[in-house]
Amino acid sequence: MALNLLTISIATTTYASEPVVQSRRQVSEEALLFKKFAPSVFTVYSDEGKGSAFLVDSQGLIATNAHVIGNSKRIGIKISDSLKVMGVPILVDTANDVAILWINPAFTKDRPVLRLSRATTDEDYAFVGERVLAIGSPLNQETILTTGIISKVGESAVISDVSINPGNSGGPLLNLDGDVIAINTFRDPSLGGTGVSGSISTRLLEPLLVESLGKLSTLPAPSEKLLPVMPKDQYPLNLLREAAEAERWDENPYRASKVAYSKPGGFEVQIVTPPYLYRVEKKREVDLARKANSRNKSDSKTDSSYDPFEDLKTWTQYLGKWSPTVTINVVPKVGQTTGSILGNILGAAVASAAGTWHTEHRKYEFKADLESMDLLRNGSVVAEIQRGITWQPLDFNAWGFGWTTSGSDLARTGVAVYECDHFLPDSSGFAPMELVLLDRKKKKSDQEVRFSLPAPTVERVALDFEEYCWQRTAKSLHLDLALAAIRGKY
Amino acid sequence: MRFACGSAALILITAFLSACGGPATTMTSTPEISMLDSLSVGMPIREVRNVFGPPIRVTSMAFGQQTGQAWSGLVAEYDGRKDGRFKYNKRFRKTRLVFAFVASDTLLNSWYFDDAGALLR
Repeated sequence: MALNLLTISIATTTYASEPVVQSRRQVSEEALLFKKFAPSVFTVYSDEGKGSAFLVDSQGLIATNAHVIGNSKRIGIKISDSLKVMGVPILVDTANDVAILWINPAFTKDRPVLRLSRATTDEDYAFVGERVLAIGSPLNQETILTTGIISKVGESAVISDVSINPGNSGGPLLNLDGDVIAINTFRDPSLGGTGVSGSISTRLLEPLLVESLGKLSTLPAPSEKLLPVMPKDQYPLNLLREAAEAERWDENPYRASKVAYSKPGGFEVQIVTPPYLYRVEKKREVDLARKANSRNKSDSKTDSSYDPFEDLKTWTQYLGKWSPTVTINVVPKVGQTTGSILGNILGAAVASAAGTWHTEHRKYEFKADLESMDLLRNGSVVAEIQRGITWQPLDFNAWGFGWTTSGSDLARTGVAVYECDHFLPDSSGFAPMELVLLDRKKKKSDQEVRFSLPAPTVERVALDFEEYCWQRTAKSLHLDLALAAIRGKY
Repeated sequence: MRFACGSAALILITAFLSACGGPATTMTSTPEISMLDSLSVGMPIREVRNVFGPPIRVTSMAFGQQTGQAWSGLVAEYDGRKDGRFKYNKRFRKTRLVFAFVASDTLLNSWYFDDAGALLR
């Protein structure tokens, strides 16, 4: 199928002395296909991070990469700016890195199903030099178009020069007939170059899709409940600057596990808000700038003044920066192993008795291993916008005169992002907030760790969002009808 | 042009609200909630000042961008009473009075006695 290239005939703006020029701007075939199929390409949020997926059946089945969902307990599928729902894994093929998920079909009924390539021969399937397009949610972007040509057709993968980045994984690679020929999966990066992209063939997906369709009748339909989405607006940049410039700023409330009376077991808990994060990033630079600029005797700012706030641009929202959200980090503590402590005490005692020298060998490990984290407000689970539980290595060696120290361990850390509203007081004051953590290092009966967020922490978070909330309220404030009527007369 | 007019209006109104002279019946910047009873939509800014006195801050703002009908106006902020809900931070409730530019007047549109954004009217 060949779509005609459309030429936009735009009445070009002319100036008095210039001739009229016909615009040569064109809508490409890729753009038309993007417009048609983008509503059926979704963003996946899992404990592993962010990826892409696409609709492959009208009953709500969507395809993605297996590595996009990993072992996640919660998978959120963002269908549009304001619509995010739970995804349920139906079948996962980790060897071929493909997976089929199910979302409630009520959310997909008006969206086109993407057709998998039905080519029976290799020649029909794809060829070198063929124009292709990828739709996905790479980096901090959501559902964007990238294009290119096929560089090589392998038995189970297509190599192309289409720009694919982390987050594109699980998204479709389409030909100009609008057929999905592969799932964008990996990059072959080169040192210094842009690298090439790898997309695994949909031939590996088809058997999984057929098997999944057969299973649907035996499973309950996925939830229709909507999940929270990342706010589209940005935390006010002037408040970030104020935070960085403030002379006094108590950072302790953000270190929740340090200010709390009851400790969260072997975990450290930290709460991060945009002003706190910016202050931590900028404080040193602001101090240095003050020092440097004070050398300038002139009272007025000159071109040679150092401005530490040049990074506060509104376009940073397209990089996912300064979203008005609250992030909770849960990190396992690092400490000396029991064997190391006892061994060194014993070694020192023996050496002392024998009158010899004792070399201290300190071994470190993670004191906890996070399996899951939930935030409760008034005893009810708060749905997070985004959550990640990822492996963190501990691997170091150091030595000095009379001592050695080493660490070798692997444990999971957690990060979850929440809407700021959960931390605000209501008419009855602040609601009790509690973190429920599961520590895999403990015995099964002892794994649950409950940690109440300390009041100074919750108050601090509420204060950080006070001005933002007001500005948000102002944006949705109606002009009183009576005033509007008076205004209309003028 | 609109911005220029808005800025000029802001300067004039800020000067007016902050001025020491004038027949102010109450010169306070910490209004009690009962004082809000005397407010009504459409009150001119001069009358409001007579009741509430000078605010601690006046800001020009654009409102209602998300309603599809944006409009411009002013926010006059007053300190309120110490908020008992906050135990670890010295914090006062703010009272915010929102005025709209209507023709050549600046008239009261709505008011808030709580930073969490609870509209009282």
